[in-house]
Amino acid sequence: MEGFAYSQPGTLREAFSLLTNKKGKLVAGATDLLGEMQDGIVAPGLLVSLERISGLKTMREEKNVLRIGALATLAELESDKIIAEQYSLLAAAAREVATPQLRAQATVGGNLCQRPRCWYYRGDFNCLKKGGAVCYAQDGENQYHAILGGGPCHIVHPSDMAVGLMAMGASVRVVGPRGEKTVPLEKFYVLPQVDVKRETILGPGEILVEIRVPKPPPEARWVFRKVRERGAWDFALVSVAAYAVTKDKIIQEARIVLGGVAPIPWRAVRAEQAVKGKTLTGAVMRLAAEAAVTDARPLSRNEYKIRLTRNLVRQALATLA
Amino acid sequence: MAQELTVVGKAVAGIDATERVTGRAAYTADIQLPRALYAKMLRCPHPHARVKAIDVSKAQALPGVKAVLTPRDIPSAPLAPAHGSRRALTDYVTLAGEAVAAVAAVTPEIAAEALKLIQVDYETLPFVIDAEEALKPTAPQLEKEGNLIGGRPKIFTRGDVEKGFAEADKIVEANYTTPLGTGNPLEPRAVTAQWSQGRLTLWLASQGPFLAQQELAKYLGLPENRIRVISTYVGGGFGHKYSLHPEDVVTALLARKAGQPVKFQMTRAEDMYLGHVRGAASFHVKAGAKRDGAITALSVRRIVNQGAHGASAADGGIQSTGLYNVPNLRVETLQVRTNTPDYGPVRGVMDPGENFAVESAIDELAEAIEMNPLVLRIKNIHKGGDPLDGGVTLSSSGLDECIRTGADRIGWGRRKPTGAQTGAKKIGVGMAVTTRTGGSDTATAIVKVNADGSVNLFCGATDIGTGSRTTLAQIAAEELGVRYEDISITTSDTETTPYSRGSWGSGVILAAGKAVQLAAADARRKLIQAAAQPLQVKPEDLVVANGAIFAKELPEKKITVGQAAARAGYTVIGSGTAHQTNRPTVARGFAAHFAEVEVDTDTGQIRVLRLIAAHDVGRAIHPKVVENQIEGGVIQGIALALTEELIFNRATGRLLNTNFVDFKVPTIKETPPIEVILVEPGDPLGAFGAKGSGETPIQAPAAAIANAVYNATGKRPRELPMTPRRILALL
Repeated sequence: MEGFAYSQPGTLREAFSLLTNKKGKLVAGATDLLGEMQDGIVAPGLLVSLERISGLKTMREEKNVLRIGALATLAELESDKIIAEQYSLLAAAAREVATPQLRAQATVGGNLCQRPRCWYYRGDFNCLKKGGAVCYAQDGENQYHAILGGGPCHIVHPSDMAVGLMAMGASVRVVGPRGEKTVPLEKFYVLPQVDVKRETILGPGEILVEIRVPKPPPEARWVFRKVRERGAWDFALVSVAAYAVTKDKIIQEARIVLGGVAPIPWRAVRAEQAVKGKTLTGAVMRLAAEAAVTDARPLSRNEYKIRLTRNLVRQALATLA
Repeated sequence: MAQELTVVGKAVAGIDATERVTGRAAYTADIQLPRALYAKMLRCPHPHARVKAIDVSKAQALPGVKAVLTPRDIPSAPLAPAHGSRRALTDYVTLAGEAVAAVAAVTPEIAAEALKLIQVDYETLPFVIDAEEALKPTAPQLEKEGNLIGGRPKIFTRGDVEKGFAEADKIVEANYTTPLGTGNPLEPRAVTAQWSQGRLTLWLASQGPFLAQQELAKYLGLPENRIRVISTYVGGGFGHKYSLHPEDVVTALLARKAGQPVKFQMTRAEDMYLGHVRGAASFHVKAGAKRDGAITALSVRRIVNQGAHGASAADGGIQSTGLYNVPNLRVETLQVRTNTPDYGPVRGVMDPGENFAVESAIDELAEAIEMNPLVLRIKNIHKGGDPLDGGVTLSSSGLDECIRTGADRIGWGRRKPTGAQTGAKKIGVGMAVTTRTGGSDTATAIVKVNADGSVNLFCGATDIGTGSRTTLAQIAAEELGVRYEDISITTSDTETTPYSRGSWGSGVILAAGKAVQLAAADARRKLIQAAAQPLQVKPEDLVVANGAIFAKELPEKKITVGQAAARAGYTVIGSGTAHQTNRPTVARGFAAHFAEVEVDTDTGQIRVLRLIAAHDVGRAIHPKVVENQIEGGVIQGIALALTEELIFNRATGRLLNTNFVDFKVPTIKETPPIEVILVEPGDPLGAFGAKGSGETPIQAPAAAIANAVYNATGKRPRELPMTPRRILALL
């Protein structure tokens, strides 16, 4: 690992300046960034910690919105009382991340902004994402890569929290040198066909500071499922978060979000349409599961993810029925 | 043996447990010598390349760099038999990661900086990763004779296999594959070298300091008494720390050139593929049996990816030949040269993969003849005293009892018919049996009895985390007739302990354990001689127990062991040597494993719910130590079954997952309740009847789990590891 300077600004304004003028790299829990530095993927000369900036660690409910500071740790999300009572989907997603040690250090903001786990990106390969000319996954070993939304780069987005938060209809507050904005989480992510070098809309100096989750109505139900090869410390082969508001057995509102299948957390819009206004019968669930993978285009070694996705969506809907 | 055992068989406190758990135990990387430099290797990124030119002048000029080596600066001899033709530094690379130069500098950072200043001009050459690809005439040829090592398959036969198949009522035939794997000891390889007055001291994370000493002596052209190898605390081996490695000699040569001690440690990524790996293999198995359950013929064709160097890995592998009394047998082995890591000793070597293939086939054969697979196995397994190949006989076997007690524990009788369950989640139960020859090695031990009755035990065998220090001390205490607490043990230092070949091949208990017993018996005889005169009792009427020497008939007529030692010159030395090689009888450990699994047919996930491991260990000197060995092996076996696999990028010939995120070592979530059953029939060869049990535990889980998956789903997995991807494709 190359040497680096470390700064802990006390205000966001100072942080903007360090990020833009000194080309600093933002760091929160560092569980992802230090790995990237260790592997020689990035070599920032300056790390800008958010640790001392006040107000980024708080979690509170306000006017039917849960506001989560970007620096709240996943362990805190897992054990928070309000989350457990009103937003338990988030605790369920947090519990599936990595290991207890990592969750004690990793932040929710960092989890949403983490870089892909693609073994070409992480390894000694000059791939598209690192400025090279080739996506090695395209014709290579791609069993963990995208079946939806891929190309020219075929990463999958690794965040479990993004899948859960998107299903809850969350948005994120982003501040930067030129002001602040609040965007729905699904507008926060960028497909490689738009920009292959990044996964989010964050521009130079911009910082994700808060996540806002609308309070679900009492009729809402949800479920989170993650399938992986190893029972802990593993990223999703496929994950699904499903959220539905039902009245008189009829689905009024539904969000179905998939992880591990696309370069961004993937909203399965066709599956949502297939259940909206319907009662969750076996036939409806099968149709919705099929709709979730209608657009899937497998690579040479990841066709199993189609079947896995279909089955997981069906299982998830069955839990909500 | 009329006397009751007082130390053997007891779960005494580990002799080094306090040192280990308090962090005071000094492992090789903890050795910090004054003025020590740090070494780094420049590794070639290409799987097949020639170094056309190398320029190290800028590296040499970097302040803080004290020595730089290229292939021109080192002996041209190959390193050690386990590495075949591999050189410590090379200008002809056949494996990505081979070192082409090395640097020693005052800090690791300067050493890393110096590597970047070395300019290498490579001519890259075509490479081949797959064994079956390498056998095609169009593949790049890596040896003069071609990629098939030796130019032709190795064939072993017994009886007439064609006649055997003709006699069979049913024949099953299928292909099984197992991936490239690696052992991952907790402690990566490490070495520190220091020269003083023409003598070399090497602190080395090694399973066999004596083998390393011999190989170093040969390589450097020095007598063995000028090389000292110390391997006091070693954090796991799994075969990985067998033999001398390139980095070990390069570190020694850097230290000689720099005139300062040099320290080197492998990174985790380097350690995962640059030592010994378990090569990928395929097994084409054909088995035939009569309806009454007599297995009439077995034919196994093994295609083994040997990697870039070496050639001995596949010579073991006795699951085809050694489990069942099959009259007609043919084993054909193709060892294939490729541009992949070197297949060498890794816990169980070939046998876990071969067991998966053979024991899956036996399960299939049982179904074909409509026989309970447990009954088919009991009918055909070897019994103690059976003749084996090569004119030797089997010393003992408790496998029958392992099968019966294990079956009883898992509830084999309640096993559901195959494929009978509806619903997405299906439960299955499966079994497999296995065996391994343990301890065809030589060891010597020395026991020194002091005038206060305390005892020093000197034994060369390294305790690589198996608890052998404790076990050997127990054997010494029991045989000598002193308390366990009276023993202090010194191990694995070529200068202060006698020869012991090494801690591998399930061999420590049989070779070193026997040597310790013989040494203690020798010391006891001398103590008795010394006590006979003052006690006025004939030596043959004296016994030693609990630190005292007394007459069998008159226990009050006694002197202490210390008093006897004082009379004999204040020190009594006993020595013993065990030759467990080339004996007319062969000791083998046995095991029967039973797995209960849940297969989620929606997700392809397999959860092992229970694993029963019934092991014939001869006798457990320390029951907890043996159980630990078995549990650790079973966990590694489950990993081979379900998660672990090194994966290549075929376009570049580089490995993709040399880290613990992408190479999925198991966690507690993959670890089911493991129920160990110790079967202890005793064995005539080992100390107090003990046999080796280091490798049988890793050999049977994959087949037991695969057979359970078949029982649950009616579909037979033939490819490891059984990941969701493979299981979904199967269902």
